[in-house]
Amino acid sequence: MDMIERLESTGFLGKEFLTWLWFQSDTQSGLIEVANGSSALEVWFVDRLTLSGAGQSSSRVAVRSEEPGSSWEARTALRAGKKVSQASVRIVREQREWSATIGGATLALSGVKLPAILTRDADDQMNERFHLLDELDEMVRALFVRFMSLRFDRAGWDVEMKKMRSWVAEEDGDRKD
Amino acid sequence: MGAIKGTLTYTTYYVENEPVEGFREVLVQELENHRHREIDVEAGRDQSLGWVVMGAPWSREFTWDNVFLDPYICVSLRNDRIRIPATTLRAYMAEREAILLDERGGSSLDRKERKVLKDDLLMQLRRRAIPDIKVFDVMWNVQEGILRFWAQNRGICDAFEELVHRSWGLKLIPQSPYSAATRYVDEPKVEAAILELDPSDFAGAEVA
Repeated sequence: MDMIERLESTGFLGKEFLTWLWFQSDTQSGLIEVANGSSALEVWFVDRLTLSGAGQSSSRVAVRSEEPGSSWEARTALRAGKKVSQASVRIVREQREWSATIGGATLALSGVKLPAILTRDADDQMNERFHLLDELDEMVRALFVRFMSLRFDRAGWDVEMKKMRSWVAEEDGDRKD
Repeated sequence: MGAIKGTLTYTTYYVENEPVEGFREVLVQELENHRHREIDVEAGRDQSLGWVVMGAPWSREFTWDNVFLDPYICVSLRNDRIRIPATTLRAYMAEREAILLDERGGSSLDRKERKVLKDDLLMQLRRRAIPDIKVFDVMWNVQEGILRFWAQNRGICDAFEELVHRSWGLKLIPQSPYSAATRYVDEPKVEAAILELDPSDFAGAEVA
């Protein structure tokens, strides 16, 4: 199997990751542990959420609102079997806040906004900006690694799947706000 | 928006090769060798792609100091392109054809005449045109082996990957669920294990 086939045959994991991230954020009040001993991240789904089915040409549902994860359209698409293909998220760590849109296909980040830059010298500012970007990439990577570790753990993933199915099946009236 | 200010949109690559000995000199020399040049219209070109200094897209004077901000290599890719709109070209061609037929008689041009006329016209229009200049920042964290390219358009990403390979012989692996998992997840035989995973059904009924 060549590299292109490998990328294509595992592309579904990006959408599963974003859907799992939404589940985690929604059921853990935004707080997600990334590794033993490290502080939890706050992950909030904001502004835009896009869901699609398994096929390339399948229909998409794109929701724009302050809390797109709470919308009827997004919840209905989820219950119909669609998964998150793109999500705008706000990530908070140690009182600093990043926002970005994550694409499921490549995990690419776009529209990234960084926390305020605190240094004054131009070179230092650029360096700080780059380090904040590295930090965001590391956080998204840590979340993805946590998802994949669970995904490789057959028993652990079965338990997670049951929880996710219950979450997906919740009707709007069942949900705690 | 580029790396230096504003919101950030980019493509992430993993760099497979380790920097070799003497990399510092090679890097600067190859930036120089593949620097951006003005479009050579007289040679029939309508595009020019090459390296410029980050934050100074007119500058091709590379030094280690202006490309290295520890631990990052920072440069920009500049892509100049002259585009003659098809409708403009058609309008000028019709005019030139009419003039030529008027001069030499006849009712139409043959294929060869039309090609000569078109090539000549394109050259004239390109000489008068102002190139469209686009600059894409590049930030390579040498320690982590992670390279960010400030674009997500497939065409420019392909051209960038090719230029990086020609410049430094680097093999770039685009970030994807597969490449991220095989690089960072601590799982025995992860490359084989990931290929055995099947899509999960969260709703109890997959949709097409």
